[in-house]
Amino acid sequence: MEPLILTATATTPSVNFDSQTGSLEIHGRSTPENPIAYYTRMIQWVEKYSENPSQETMVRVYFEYFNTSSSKCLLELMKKIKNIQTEGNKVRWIWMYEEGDDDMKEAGSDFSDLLKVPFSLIAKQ
Amino acid sequence: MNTLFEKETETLEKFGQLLTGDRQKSETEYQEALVELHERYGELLGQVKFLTKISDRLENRLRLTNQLLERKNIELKNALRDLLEARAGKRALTIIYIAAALLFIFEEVIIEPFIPIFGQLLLAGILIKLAIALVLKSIEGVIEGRLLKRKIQKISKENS
Repeated sequence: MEPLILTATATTPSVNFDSQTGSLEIHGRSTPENPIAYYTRMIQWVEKYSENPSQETMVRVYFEYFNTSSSKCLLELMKKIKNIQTEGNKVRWIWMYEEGDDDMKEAGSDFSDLLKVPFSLIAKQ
Repeated sequence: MNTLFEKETETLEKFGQLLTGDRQKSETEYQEALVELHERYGELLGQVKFLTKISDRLENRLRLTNQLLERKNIELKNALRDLLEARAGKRALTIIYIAAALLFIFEEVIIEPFIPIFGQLLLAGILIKLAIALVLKSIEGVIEGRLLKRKIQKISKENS
């Protein structure tokens, strides 16, 4: 399965989904004009990946900022990833935030509560 | 995913059809539907709470950023005014120096020879020079003010 690599722009985060290593990374700012189009690519990739996932999937999310629409899309994406876990596969969730950015830390905590999966909240300097 | 609330729209349509459909439903069907609806409603409520929190946090973040921008804008305006004042002061001083030089030459060459005609005032030359210096000092303030005003108007025009 081909990895999904998207370069960051001023309004979209960088994406690096690799089925070989099971590493799913999103990093940057997310305020796209059309978040559905941007996140659908990721959702479709995860749906395909969930058919034959890696032994361990590592989700690493590091946002500087995202708008409300992006948070809804991100939630849908995370639900798809959670399905991999529900089917008995190991998934590690890492939510990174800039040190001192309490808003982003709380957002990670909210995602964790809503999805009912434990997130490792890591402050990045 | 075609719309942001695809699943929620689908739920609304599905249960709407259950209510408006032609076929009479059994009690079990309604009960099952109610269970599913309850589950989806719970999920939706969770999302609404989550999105409201996210939205409030973003609003707060934007408000703080806006406040910071306003503060920086005032600082920038003050710094710009100081810079313009310094520049205008420098230009006004140059103009006054030239004017002073010209007036002193004028006083020495044209006025000074006529002083003895009107009497033997010993300090007349010095008094005239002092008067010129005082007049120039007050003119310097006027020139500086005018130069500054003109510069601010120019900047405002460029920005509008």
